[in-house]
Amino acid sequence: MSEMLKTSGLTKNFGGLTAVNNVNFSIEEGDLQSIIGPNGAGKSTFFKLISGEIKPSSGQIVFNGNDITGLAQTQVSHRGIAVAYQITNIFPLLTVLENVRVAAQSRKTTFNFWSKAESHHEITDQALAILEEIGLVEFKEDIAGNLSHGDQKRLEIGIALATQPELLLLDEPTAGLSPTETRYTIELIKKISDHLTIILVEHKMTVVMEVSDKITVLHYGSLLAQGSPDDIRNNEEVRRVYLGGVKV
Amino acid sequence: MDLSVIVMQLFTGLSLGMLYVLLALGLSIIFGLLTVVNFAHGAMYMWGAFIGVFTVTWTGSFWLALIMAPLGVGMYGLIVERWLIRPLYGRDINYPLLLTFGLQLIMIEVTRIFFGTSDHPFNAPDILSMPLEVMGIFYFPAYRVFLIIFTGVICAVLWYFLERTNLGLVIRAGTRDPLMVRALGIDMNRIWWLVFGIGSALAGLAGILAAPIRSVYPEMGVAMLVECFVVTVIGGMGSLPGAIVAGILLGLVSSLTTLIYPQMADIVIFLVMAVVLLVRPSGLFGKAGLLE
Amino acid sequence: MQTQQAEVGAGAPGGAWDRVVDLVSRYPVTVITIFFIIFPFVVPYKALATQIIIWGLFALGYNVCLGYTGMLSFGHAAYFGVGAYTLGIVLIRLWENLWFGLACATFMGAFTALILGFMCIKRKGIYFALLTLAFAQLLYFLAFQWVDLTGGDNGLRHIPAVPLPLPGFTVDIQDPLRFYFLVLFFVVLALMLLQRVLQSPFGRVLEAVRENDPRARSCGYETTNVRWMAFIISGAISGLAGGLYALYLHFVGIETLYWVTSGQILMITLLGGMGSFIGPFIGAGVFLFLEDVLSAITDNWMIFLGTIFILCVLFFPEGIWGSVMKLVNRSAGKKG
Repeated sequence: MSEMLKTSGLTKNFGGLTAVNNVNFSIEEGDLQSIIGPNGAGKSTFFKLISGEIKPSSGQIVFNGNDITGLAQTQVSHRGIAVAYQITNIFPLLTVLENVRVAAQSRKTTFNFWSKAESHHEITDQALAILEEIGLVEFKEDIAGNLSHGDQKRLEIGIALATQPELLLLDEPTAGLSPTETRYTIELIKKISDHLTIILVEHKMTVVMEVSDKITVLHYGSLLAQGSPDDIRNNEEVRRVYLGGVKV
Repeated sequence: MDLSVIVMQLFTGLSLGMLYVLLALGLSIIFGLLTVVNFAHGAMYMWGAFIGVFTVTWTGSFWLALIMAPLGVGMYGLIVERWLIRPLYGRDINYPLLLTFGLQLIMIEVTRIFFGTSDHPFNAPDILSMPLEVMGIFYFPAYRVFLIIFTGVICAVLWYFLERTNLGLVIRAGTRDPLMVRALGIDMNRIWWLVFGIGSALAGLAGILAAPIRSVYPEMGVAMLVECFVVTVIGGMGSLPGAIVAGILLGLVSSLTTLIYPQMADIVIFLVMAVVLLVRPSGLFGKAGLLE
Repeated sequence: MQTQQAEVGAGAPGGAWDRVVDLVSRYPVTVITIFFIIFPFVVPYKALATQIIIWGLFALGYNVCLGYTGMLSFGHAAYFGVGAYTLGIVLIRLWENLWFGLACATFMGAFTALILGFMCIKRKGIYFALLTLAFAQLLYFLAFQWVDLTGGDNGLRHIPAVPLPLPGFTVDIQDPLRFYFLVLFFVVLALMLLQRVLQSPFGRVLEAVRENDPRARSCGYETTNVRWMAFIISGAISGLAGGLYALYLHFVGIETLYWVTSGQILMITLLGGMGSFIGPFIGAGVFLFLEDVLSAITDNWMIFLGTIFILCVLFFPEGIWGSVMKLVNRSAGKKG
């Protein structure tokens, strides 16, 4: 297996605050790696740095062997990195299908003024396949903003999937979900991790322990530990700062 | 072209710039705190001038007019904020802009009904109408000297109010983080109300100060408003130092252009704006990404 | 209790309403076309009808910017005015050909939007509104000073009344009704083209950008370019409307470029309702009809229009058509 994403010395300062501090992180192709850490550990900032939403103060990001440090979000997306956001970030007034369809269309065409959008069958078919995968195909004609919170979170993942990424960044996909919905999302993550490399930020330890191949622990913006779920579970330092000594 | 002409023109430009400063300060504090672009600002300026005309006609006192104009327009601003703008908070940021746009149409029309559409002559008080002689070569109109000094004092008072008083502190904190200020238990509604009133009063004051040197007519605020938008864009939206620097700059640029190439006088400020935006997209003192 | 009353109120006539609204939403171009074919025969005079569809076309163009992309422009007088002046100057100086004149007007509207858009489009929200306003004022003052080309304060006069050249013969369009149908032809053409564009992949991206610009960007769309393109399309339609307006008046007044024109088109669009095909025409109809009626009664008709506009902003931000849709949807929702 080859290394898909690697950050070296990645740092981001906001004024006096160092949100991400000299992080060396890497993920192998096909892996599902989780990033955990207490609130304010810099997980969200780390995601934003990778996705190009904000520019790092120093350090380097290499994706598939290419330096993508400082690339704009749009370009990062076209290189094959997609984000499913923690705060639901869908197109609220469009239909569920259109949400995914327009994301899928981003790989094909933007300035096509003449053909009918619906006539691009391969895009629509691809969108429908994704709706099938995330279990929203029966709601395809509904206005996305009217979906339940859980369904919107899955649609969020669907939009990210539709851009056909090689690497998917999932930011707390189960936040605010009921146990049943969480179960469903876990299964979904397992399913898509078969054909995708995924970095997951998640607070629910049960979810993290169940789905991860590898776990990275961030603490005050710095890398604290890295290893398999079992390693992390038994790591004394992690337990002290993060798990509060509680046995998982 | 001799030196005295240029100095005189610079001086005229400075007094025009001071009017820009007053208006732009009003626009800027309202925008900075309420995120409302007050399209009625020009009409408020015009009302300041007309309150002046009215007061002088009835009492003969310019000094009373100088008090009545900001007071009247300021109170009007309080009413506008309370009954028209406050219901729009929480809606799309464009709605207050649209509302005040409609409001200025009404204000201009109301003025036409009461005062007609023609120019109203308005003279500076006698004590300010003779020229001041400096070194025997420069003759500065006393009224313009008064205008510049008076506006400078107003700016200083405003600065003191914002930097040194408790209320000013709250206002400045509110500009940065309204939620935080509200979390401290301060009633932001009252602060916003007050700030809108102060901003309006500044427009009224600019109106009465402009009356003796510019024509007084119902549309006098229209061009002025656009010029003040240009000032705030150049200075950086919501920035008070920006409003002062850009206001004076544009006043000088505009009157020097009048001297050198009069056809360009109306155009040059837009060219300055275009250049500033290309070099510094958020204006001279602006923070990037504010309210976008 | 209240619900019951509302349902009784929306009973039988509500059903008819629903059908009308449904029809208009589904086949806007057809409905608008049929309506405006009948229209000149029911309004008091043809000139008003012509004005309504010209301003409706302008509002349609403006709506591409405000309603479909969510950009509040305060400078659309620029594209309308440039279109009007272009038509006049081309007919007077270059070639007395109507098709060529209107094509130039449309092109110059788009071209001006391309240039000014480059300066403004990176900024959003209020900044965008102020920048568009300022640049439109720049054009106004330029036209004011460039007397040789534009006639300055006196306006551009004596635009020739050219006939309409068609293959094999020409049609005189001096007759108000013929002129009306010429304008209507362009309105319908613009509607059909615009409908096509909005249903295209680009149209969908436009919707996505309006709904959630940052998300569209993270999906890999260069949203700035998308908005710029929408701005140019909007400028083209506005330029065409301006050209038709100049043709209609045989004259271009300097106030065409003034910011009051920008304000007026904004009022019309908001009054009618954003983001639909029918809204701009309803807005133009109501606005111009009110102006017509009120200005006959009082010189200060702007007071009433200003008040109506303020009430609209406060209580009916969706505009006339938007409010009708909301009402119908609500009663439909209740039944369903």
